[in-house]
Amino acid sequence: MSFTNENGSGIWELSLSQRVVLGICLSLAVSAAIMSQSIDSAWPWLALGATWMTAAVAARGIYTQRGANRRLFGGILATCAIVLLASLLILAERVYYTGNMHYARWLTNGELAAGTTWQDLMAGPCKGRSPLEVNEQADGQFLIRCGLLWSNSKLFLSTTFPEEGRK
Amino acid sequence: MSKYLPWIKRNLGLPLLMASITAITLGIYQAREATATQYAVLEQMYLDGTPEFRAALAELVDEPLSRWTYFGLSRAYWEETRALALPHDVPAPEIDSATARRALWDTVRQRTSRGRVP
Repeated sequence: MSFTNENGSGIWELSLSQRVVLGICLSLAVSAAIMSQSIDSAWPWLALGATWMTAAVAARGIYTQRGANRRLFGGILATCAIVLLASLLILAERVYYTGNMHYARWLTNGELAAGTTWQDLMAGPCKGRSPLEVNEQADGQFLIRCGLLWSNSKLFLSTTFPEEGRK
Repeated sequence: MSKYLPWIKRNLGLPLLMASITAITLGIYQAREATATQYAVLEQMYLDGTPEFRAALAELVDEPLSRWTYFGLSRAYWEETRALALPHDVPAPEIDSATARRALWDTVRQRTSRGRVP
């Protein structure tokens, strides 16, 4: 497999715009890690940057390779596109959730059973998922969310504020 | 390694420079003293926090707190009290940081035996 295009530059070379986007991802990773004082917060942004870089290489590979290699790069690009689209949707959900008093019920995991306490939540569906947030909805119900991003969070509706049993 | 160094310089130089500038800028920003609102939030956390959290804050009494320290204490408060949310609904005090800091440490001293006025 030759990784050189007609201009003589390899497919591993990133264009200026691709380097800038990668720089933005790295900057966001650094910001997240510094603000939260935890390297864990940086991983999603680093993963996004790595996916972006892979997509950039695969996109160039499609134009420079033929046959099986081209199909391989096509597959890689399609996978990266799906991952990037999913990331965008997850971020859009977070923006939609923030401060929204009319959160869509179908995006939640249903209603909490009556009498569910804070400890029940932390020992059950919310175990290992943080932060835990509670937002009042326009209909008077409480939207309880554990986990920052929708992909790794649980959302419940409750008619009562889950303060009972709080440490 | 030297084989890949030109490629790293060419392709990762700009992204790494951008990340470094961000890190330095944020580092300088975070090293500044906490704002009056952050001191007010800490005061509320102190009143609502666990004994361990109160002890940790009492250790810092009379010191000006950086934003690093504020975020560190916020994390500790979050983890120890398992709070539903940080008390961010504290109204922004219309005072400067120094006055808010004195108010925080006055509250801490009133609650700790060593600072209690007989």
